[in-house]
Parts: sequence; structure tokens; C-alpha cells
Amino acid sequence: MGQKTNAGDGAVNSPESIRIRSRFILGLLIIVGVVLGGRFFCIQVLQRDYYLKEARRIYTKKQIVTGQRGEIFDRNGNLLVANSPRLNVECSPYNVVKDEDRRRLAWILAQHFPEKNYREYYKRLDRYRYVAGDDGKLTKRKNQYFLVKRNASLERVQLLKKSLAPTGKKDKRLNLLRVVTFSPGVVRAYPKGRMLANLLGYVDIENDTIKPRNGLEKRFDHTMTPEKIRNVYERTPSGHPISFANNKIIVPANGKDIYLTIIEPLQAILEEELNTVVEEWHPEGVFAAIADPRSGEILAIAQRPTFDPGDRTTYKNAGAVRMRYAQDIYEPGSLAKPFSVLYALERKLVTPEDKINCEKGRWHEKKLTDVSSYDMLTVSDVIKKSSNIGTAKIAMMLGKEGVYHALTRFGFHTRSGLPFTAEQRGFFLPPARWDSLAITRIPIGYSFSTTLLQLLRAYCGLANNGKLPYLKLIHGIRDPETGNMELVPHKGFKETGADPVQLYKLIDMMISVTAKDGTARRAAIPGFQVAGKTGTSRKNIEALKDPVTGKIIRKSGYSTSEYYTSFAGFVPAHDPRLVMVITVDNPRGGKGGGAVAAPVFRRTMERALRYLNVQPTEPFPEPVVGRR
Amino acid sequence: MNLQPVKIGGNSIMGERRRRNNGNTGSYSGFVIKFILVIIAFMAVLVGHLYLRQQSVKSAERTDDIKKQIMDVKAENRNLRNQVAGLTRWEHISRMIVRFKLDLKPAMHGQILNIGVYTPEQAATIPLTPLKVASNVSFSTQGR
Repeated sequence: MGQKTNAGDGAVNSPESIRIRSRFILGLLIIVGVVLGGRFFCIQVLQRDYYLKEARRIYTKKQIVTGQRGEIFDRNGNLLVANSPRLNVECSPYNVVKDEDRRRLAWILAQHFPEKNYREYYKRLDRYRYVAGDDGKLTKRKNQYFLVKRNASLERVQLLKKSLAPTGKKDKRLNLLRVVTFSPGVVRAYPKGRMLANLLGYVDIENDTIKPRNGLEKRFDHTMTPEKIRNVYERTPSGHPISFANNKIIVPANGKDIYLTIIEPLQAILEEELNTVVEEWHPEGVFAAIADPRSGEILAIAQRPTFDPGDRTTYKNAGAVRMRYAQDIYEPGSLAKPFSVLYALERKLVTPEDKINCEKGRWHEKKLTDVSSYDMLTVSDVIKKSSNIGTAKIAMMLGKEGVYHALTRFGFHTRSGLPFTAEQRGFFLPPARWDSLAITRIPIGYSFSTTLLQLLRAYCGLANNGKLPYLKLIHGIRDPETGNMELVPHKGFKETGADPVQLYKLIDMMISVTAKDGTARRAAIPGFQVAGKTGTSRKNIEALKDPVTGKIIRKSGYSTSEYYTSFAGFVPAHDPRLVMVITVDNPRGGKGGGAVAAPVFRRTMERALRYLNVQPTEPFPEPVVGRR
Repeated sequence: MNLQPVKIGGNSIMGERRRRNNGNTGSYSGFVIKFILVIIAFMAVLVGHLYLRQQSVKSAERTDDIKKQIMDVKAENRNLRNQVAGLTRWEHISRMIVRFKLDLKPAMHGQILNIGVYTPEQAATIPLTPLKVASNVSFSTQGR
């Protein structure tokens, strides 16, 4: 064998043989090299773009990231509108191979999200789905995505995770936590419920984008909208960004937070008192606002009916959603009387002691009546008793231009300064277009219309020594990135030119309104002097036709049964801290501002003054503590 | 295949090398060793580089996971803050007052001068002094 091998070796190792072998190997290497080179050329040069695109598709992740929308707070940082973190529950049914696991998952989902039942979940968890093509044929495809629940609360997801987790190490079944995934979501939350709902507004979500619909949400959308950024980065197989890659991941800036001038406890007091009015008088509506006359800052503002931003079924009533205090115009009635009287005092046409003939309650010449029949009233009593005839006679001394000036200088027929695009200016004709009766109607609050905000501003002007403030609602805007609060500067005051001495006299008259024999004795607050004025105006209603016969059931004009009853006042009278105006739209069973609106003023102000720790200015009646 | 040293053109390769290096074949081994060392060094650098990259990726993943955990905690904080805001609304508090029959009444003017909120430990160290009340408030026991 050995010899044979040696002989064979000789033949194999012969130079010729080696040459052949080496050439063969060389040839083989050249062929392999050419093939590989060709392939490389194909991949790297000819098909470069295709493979580059494919590779990028696999290792590159595109992600649209949005910051947090700005939130809304009250003056003291109490949260009014928030972003509530949620989780979208998603599932990949294709990865659930065994029917046993599919049933288990369907059962768990049905337990936690009962919006669908077990059968529906089981059906949706099929590994394949059938898609109809253009030709109507069904194509079988892998079912890799199923959105179980959009924006589930964190608490519910926590419970779901517990149910999905394996029961222990011995549990060899499919780990459902690998099939069910969670992606972050966010919803707009209104933790205070109905409080300030009309002012704050609400948002809708369209295609995962927030669409503000109303209120401050809409007005300050540009301020609160966060930055939206598209990040593209290279990722590892597990989805994390590759640390050494040239990734530029930008964190989007959050929207700015808005701080209102509202004080939440005062707002809560006002809202609670408005609820009482609704229970007691069943009106069509009631709206009120409280402001600081020194700065014009709105401290509380509310209306009924209102809506719950968290409950979409309450959105249907348009009257509940719109801001009635800014959008509804109405004739203010006797709330307008002090302005004409003040101007007459300033022009020395009357003094508080001058007597006016009130025609025993019925002035035939001008077709004007009073609620009670008064013979002669002093100017002071005209305000105290709210005499229409007395006020009209004083206004006639002023003339048309005088009455117009007396009202417009206090901001009637102008916007209040609040950031409401929908705010109405009201209806107020220039004197040249007044008819013969207008001079007697306008000073008593008819023949022109206003909003509650205009009235509030005007009374702030009376309370603030004739300086008419622009109303303010936004205290500041805070950048959440830096934490810096940018305070919104006050727009300042408009000088009305009112004489402080005469204004003081007018305020004394208005204090008498809340005295024992005044029209608003129910607005009196123990320990404080309250200056105020009641107002009751008939509603100007449209004609009502029978839909079947077309006959007019009710004529248009001033109603004899429907009223706006109001009260406007400030306290303490000579050093006012708070101004409040309240209007009740058509209270059932009561029509006077003194009976309906004044008690609400008293109750609200009593609580508000206590909260603000405003010390009583008058001798305080001794309370009996401990007695029930 | 036979890999024994072979003769090419009548001379063995080893013999040729021996002749070229004055009968010493050691430099060849040295060359091979050096070459292997270079290869090893190169491989070590390469493997080290790959290892460090791998570690870097792992740390980045861990950092990313921690970031996500921080985000989760922040989301939970935000959620709790929203819940607190809901629980502190007066509507809810007033309901609780009724539900638990707390019968709380607002204080009268001047009735409360200041309120000290103390822990039981702090309260134990504060001397009991008569409460100063406003002059216009009287405490009556009538009707009890």
C-alpha cells in the first residue's frame, strides 16, 4: 500500500500535476472572484438605490412627535383644563396562533373593555382578514393590527396588564403582553366639570388632531398649540434609536399655559348660587359675573344652562354652549338709570334733594308708568324707588345728546376688552335717529341693548371713581419649558370725565337702594354698605305663528309675562372690592330684580367677601355662635 | 490533499529558503508569528470596537427604556394631578359634606382670626392659651 501510495504521490506531486491543480484553483478563484465582483457590482452600483431604500426602510424609523397642548389655570394655579394621559390598546392578532390563546385574549378584553362582547373580540382576533379588491374579490391578508381601545385610562390599562401577565414561571401559555401593546395618547380633560365650561370651551379630535370649537380653547389655540416635529432616526431591531448613528431626535416644544384672572373658589361660589336660582325660579337662563373694579379683572363668570365638556350629550343645547354673558344682548332696564342721573348731577341740572313730579305713577303724555304711584320724589328717591317717570324727566333735561353721552362714556355699545371674538356690541342708535319717545325710554334702559359684560364694565366705572377699566381675563401666559410667566399687561382705563363728588352722591343714592325701604333691600349685606341697582325689563319677543293654520298666536313686541330681571352692585360701597352683575332670563313666578336677582347678589357677595377676608365697614350685627 | 513540502523544479521550498537565509529557516516562523500577531491585534481591535458598539447600543436601549419609564411616571403624575383637581372642586366637596353628614358651616365674619394646622406632635408642644376673638363676636351656649 505504502509503495503504491508513494508511487501515486509521485504522479500526483509531479510538476505537471501541480501546475494543473494550481491553474485549476486559480481559475476557480478567478471565476468566484468574477462572480462575486459581478454580484457586488450589481448590488453596489446597478441596484444601489433599490437596496439603499430597502435598508433604510428597515432600519429607519419615522415618528411624528407632538408636544403637550397648553393647559389653563386660574389665577392661583388651580387646574381648569388639563391634558389627561391615556393609552391606546393595540393588538397583533396574527401572532396569536393557538385558538386557546385567542379565546383567552378575547375573554380578557371583553372583561376589561365591555364596549364589545366576547364574540366580537373573538371575531376581530382572527389571524387573517379578508380585504375586498377593486374587482370585488376577497383577498386573504395577515391581520397584524387591531385597535382594541383608543385612549383608555391608565387605571384600566393597569388592570388589563395584570390580567394579561403570565400567572407564574410555570405558565407556559403564550405571554399575551407580547401580543397586546400600548401606545401613548392624550385627551383634553376638564377636571372641574361644568365649572366655567362656556368660557373654557371644548375641543374635538379629528384625525388625531385637536380642533378647538369654542371659548378660550378656540381663542387661544395658537398660544396653546404645541410644536409638531417629524423625527427620522436609525433604529435597532428592538426599535430603539442607534446610539452611534447620526440621529437628530428633536423634542417638540409644549404649548403655553394660560393663567386666568378667575379665582376658583369665587367661581365655585357663583356657580353654586346660580344653581340655587335655577332651582328656585326655573328661569330660561341666568348669567352673572364678578369683577375687581380697580383693575377690571374678571374674578368669576358663570351662566346657566351650561354644559359638561366631558359629556358630549350636553353639547346639543346651543343656549348652553354659547357665552350668553358676551353674546346675548338685552335691554338692561333700570340698571341704566344711574348713568343719566349722574350726568345730570354733574351738569348741575339737579341735586339729590331736588323734587321731581312723578305723575302719580302714570305719565300719559309719554305713555310711561311706574310700578308704584309716586307723587313727588327727590332725585335720590328716584333712584331708590327706581322711578321710570322721574328718570325720564331728568333725562329730558339732558337732551338726546346728553343721554347718549351719559351712557356711551361708560362703555355702552363698545366691546368690553375681553378676548371674545363673538362678543356683541349691542344695539344703540345715534341720537339723530331717535324717535320722539326714545329720550324717555333710553335712560330707563329700553330702546337700546347691551351685554352683561358691558353692564359689568360700566358699574366697574362707577365703582372706580369714574375710571372705566378694560375688562381683563388673562392674567399671564406661562412657558412650560422655561417656567417663565409672562404677565399680560393691563389695557388701562378710559376716563369717563365723571365728577368724583357727584359720583359720591350717586353712590349714596345707590346705597339707599339696598336700604330697608329700597327696591333691593334683599341685597343688603350685614356689616357692609352695598351700592346697587335693580333692573327689570320686558322681553322683546318675536311673533309666534301657528305652524298649521299660519295664524298669529302671539304678536311681536314687549311681552307682558316674560322679563329680564337683573341686579348690579358693588361692595363695600365707597371702597369697592367687588362688582357683580346678575341677570335672570324670565324667572317663573317672580319678575322683580329685587326679589329674584338681589338675594343672589347678597348670598354670593357674603361668601366672596368672607373668602377674600374683606373686613366689615359697618357695625356688624352680633352673631350668635353655637345656636342652631 | 497531500500538504507535505514539495519540490518545484527539482528544489524543495524549504531547501530554497534555507539557501536564501544561510541555512536558517527561523525568520519564516518569525514572519508568520508576527503576521499572526498583527492579525490578532487587528482582530482584537475589531472585536473590541464591535463589543464597545454593542455595549453602547445596549446602554442606549437601557437609557431609552429608562426615559420611557420616566415618561410613564410623569404621565401617572399628570393623571394624579388631574384627579386631585377633580376631587378639590367645590361641587365634589359639598357632596362629600352632605354624604358624610359633616354639617360644616362657613365661619362668620371675625370668628376666625387665624388657623393653625399642626401635626399631633407639634400640637402637643403648643401651650394652651385662650383664643383671641374679635370683640364683636360672642359665643353663646344658649339653645344647646
